[in-house]
Amino acid sequence: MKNRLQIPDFMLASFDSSHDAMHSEEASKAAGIKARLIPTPELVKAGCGLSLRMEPKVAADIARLLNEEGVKVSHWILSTTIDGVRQFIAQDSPLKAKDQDK
Amino acid sequence: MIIVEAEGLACPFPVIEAKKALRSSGSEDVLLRVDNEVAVGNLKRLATSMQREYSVKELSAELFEVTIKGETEGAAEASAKTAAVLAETDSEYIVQISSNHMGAGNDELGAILMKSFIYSLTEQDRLPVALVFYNTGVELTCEGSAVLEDLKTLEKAGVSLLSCGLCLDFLKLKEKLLIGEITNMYRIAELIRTYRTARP
Repeated sequence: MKNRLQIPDFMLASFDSSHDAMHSEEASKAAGIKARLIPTPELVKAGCGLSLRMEPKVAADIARLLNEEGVKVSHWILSTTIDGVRQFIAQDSPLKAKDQDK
Repeated sequence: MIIVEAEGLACPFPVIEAKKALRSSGSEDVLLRVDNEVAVGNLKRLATSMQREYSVKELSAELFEVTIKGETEGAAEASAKTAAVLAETDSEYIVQISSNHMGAGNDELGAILMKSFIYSLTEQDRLPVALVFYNTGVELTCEGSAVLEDLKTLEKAGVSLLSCGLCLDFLKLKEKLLIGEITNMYRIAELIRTYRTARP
């Protein structure tokens, strides 16, 4: 019998280098925003092996922070479960979305 | 045949487009045009993970056609068979954590790898029965550990977290243990001989 845990929806930022990924986690921590590095999911495979995982609601704050820090995000991806199937859906940068609102 | 033009798209977009097409394609073949070998590799992996046959045509250095075959009745049967075999071999297991980092060579990298490994456990189709921590592995269940959140997730799901008492004592960490239980070598030996053991 399987006992897989339910995975909540989250946003992922992927990077071209592991040093960028590590810097992104440190910068988020310093700014008091909850985010953490996880291994980049197999089906995403964008750039380096680590991605920054965060709740979708803080994605715009993190996008702004990383932009200020000069850390380039290669892709933004939403991890979500639809009808019991895990999906990774590419997103526009939350930074862009926020700017358009203004 | 369904044709998807995925040229000029960076990953993971070709894969996402392919998944969209494959969801509704049924027995029909899906042909994807992409412009780089990384995308070809990702599409091959997608086809393999879905247990579909595929073929690749290199039209030029910057144009590839990947055809993913439609689902056949035989394939559906085979995948049911594979699932049955997987279910049988996918037995209960424990995970031995014998160090605060994963692999030897660079400890800073090793700590990151260990963090990634523990997180990956939370996403496995089957969770381990127990995580057994010994030697500097016990640092992961104590104050200052970077993996407490994931360990909490595992514990909540019923995974036992067992730290070696002798190790906690030797490393002067007994008062710093934050999660799981303290165990002894008899219990550790019993677990290791009883269950299939995974080690990072």
